Amino acid sequence: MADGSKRPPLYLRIRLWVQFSAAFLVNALFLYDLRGICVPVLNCWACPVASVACPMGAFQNGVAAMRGALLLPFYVLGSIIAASAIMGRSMCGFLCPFGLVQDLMGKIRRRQARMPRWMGYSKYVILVVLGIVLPYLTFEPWFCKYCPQGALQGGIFQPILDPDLRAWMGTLWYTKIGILVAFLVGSIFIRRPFCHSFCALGALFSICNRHSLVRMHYVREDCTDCMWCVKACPAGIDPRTDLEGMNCVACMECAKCPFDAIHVTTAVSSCTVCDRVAVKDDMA
Amino acid sequence: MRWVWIPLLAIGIGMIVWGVNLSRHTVVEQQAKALCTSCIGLTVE
Repeated sequence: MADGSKRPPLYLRIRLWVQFSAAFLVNALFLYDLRGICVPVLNCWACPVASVACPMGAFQNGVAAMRGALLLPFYVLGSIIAASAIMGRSMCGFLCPFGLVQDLMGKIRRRQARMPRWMGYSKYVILVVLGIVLPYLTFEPWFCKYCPQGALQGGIFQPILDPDLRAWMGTLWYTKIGILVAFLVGSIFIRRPFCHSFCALGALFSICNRHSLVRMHYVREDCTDCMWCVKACPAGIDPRTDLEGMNCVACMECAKCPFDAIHVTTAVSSCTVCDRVAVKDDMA
Repeated sequence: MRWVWIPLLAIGIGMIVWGVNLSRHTVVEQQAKALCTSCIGLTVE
């Protein structure tokens, strides 16, 4: 067992920098020509400086177009499946700008509540209803209409830059801003509430969370039940039971475990810690 | 279940290639470059 003094690897220590860099790169106007590329993070393409396409917006438009053309949104779905096959839901933990916003808001208050586990199922309902069924029936991106990231990036800045747009600000705009404020304030008191229960893109990624190339392992034998990981988890889950589950954003904060009970590995490499446990089991 | 990511990745890349072959990426680019009124929350009549 580790003695609790081990320093976590570099990629775990620079997560905040990775988040800031990703938020900058997907909103770097000099990369405007990449707007046809779906980068698997929730970054609104209505943002004046957005440099890539939002996969959730493109997915809904693809579903709406499916009704007329009977063609699955191959390109968008392929981007999401390929990214989640490699990273699982790590995009949420490392790259998503709205995840970064919630993490930063969460730093305001030390003690934060957690969403109940069952609330995590609501993101699948939102995906099906707002992301698939309603766009298919009405040809409109319904998830975008209520997406707080759209309100933050597009809803605030576009009317500031273009005064003509202000004439169209109605009930929907105020609703959107209200949802954004609710999530921003909620993030102070609750750990990543949007990612946990409302993000349709996170719902898509979570399907592959346990089957991706990048994996995380929990070693019960090394765990002292000190609850360090439970306190550290920005998503508010218990990594001892829900690691890589539907609510885990794979941010790998818990892998900084001072007793090395949770560690990051890949599906192709043999896990030295797990091998050690297996040998121990064999000897027993 | 350790190797499930390989067929998933192959399917994903295959779908991207198929989508690019059908020029779906240009459609996505057009959508991304147009102003998304739903994203902003505008009520356009």
